[in-house]
Amino acid sequence: MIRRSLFAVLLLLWVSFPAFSQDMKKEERLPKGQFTFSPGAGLVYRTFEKGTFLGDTYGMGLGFRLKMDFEFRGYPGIGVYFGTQKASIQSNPFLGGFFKEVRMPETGMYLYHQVPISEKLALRGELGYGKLQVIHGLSPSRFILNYANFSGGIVANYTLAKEVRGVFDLKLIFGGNYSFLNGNKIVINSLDRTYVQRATAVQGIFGFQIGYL
Amino acid sequence: MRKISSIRFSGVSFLLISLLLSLGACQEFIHNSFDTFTGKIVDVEGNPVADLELTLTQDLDFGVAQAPVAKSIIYTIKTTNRGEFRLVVPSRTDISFNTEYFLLLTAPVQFELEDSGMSFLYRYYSFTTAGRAADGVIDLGTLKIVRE
Repeated sequence: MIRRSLFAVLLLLWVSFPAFSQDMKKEERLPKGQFTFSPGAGLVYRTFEKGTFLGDTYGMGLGFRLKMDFEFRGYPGIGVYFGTQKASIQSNPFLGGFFKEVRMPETGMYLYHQVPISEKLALRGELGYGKLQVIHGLSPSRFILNYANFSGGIVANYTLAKEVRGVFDLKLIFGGNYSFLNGNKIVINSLDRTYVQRATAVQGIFGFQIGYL
Repeated sequence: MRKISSIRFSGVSFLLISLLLSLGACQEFIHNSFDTFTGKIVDVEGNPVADLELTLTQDLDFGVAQAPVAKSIIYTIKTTNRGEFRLVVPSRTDISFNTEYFLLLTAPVQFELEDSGMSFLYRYYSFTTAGRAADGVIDLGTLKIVRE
């Protein structure tokens, strides 16, 4: 998954690079300091590191993410997101077989800085902090585990259509991030504490974003 | 008129808040918390019993003239070389009236439990999570078994 994303980024860089010099001027058609906002939506797939509770207990499926970026042109931006991911529960020695279903909603925010590579392609670095919930069962028999999520990643924006109706740009977004999860509020015996409370994860995202001018 | 509508609004708010509180109070599990049951199994001479099969359940069927049977099994494990066991489950709230667990043995082994200075043999050992420590551990101590 990561290798394929990396290959796609490199391919787009290669395709876009010849137009780089002349396109940079066009890219900066908005004045510095101009406020823009960009709602987006995408499919996500996160996999947790094996050898941790999250990695060994849950089989991960596809999820989605809704996000909104806010930026003053030329300065680092800030974004917020909400998403969830499907998962299944594997045989494990912690949940007692009490639950059949699990879902993993998450919310958070991130800082980003975007660098235009060509007229159509831009790369951005992101640093984020959020909350991931692992919700087992249905109310009133829900059992929730909360994790803080620190993440960093690289996302590419490829502009599919510019100034649609003179109002917005339509962009394809794809990338990935690496995150550290910390569930230090989870109460558990000392022998299993690190295994249950800590994890790392790799996440890929693919979707669309609308950049209002 | 305004007074009546404000009374109605506060009544509805009260009902909604009461409903939310009652839903919260009915939660069956304690979020972000696991209970851990630990203990050690020894024989009549006090030696650790390794590889002993233990079944954890909350649902025992006490039939007439038969050994109790687990209607649903949480875990089946084996003791370590030192006779120790560790079982982890999500913590349950007391309000669910469901904080009683049973450790069940399979024949030909039974727990030897003392009560009022007398020894009794049971196929199961029952306990609750009332004595939970801050880290969620419920130490069942040393449990003695006998072979029939």
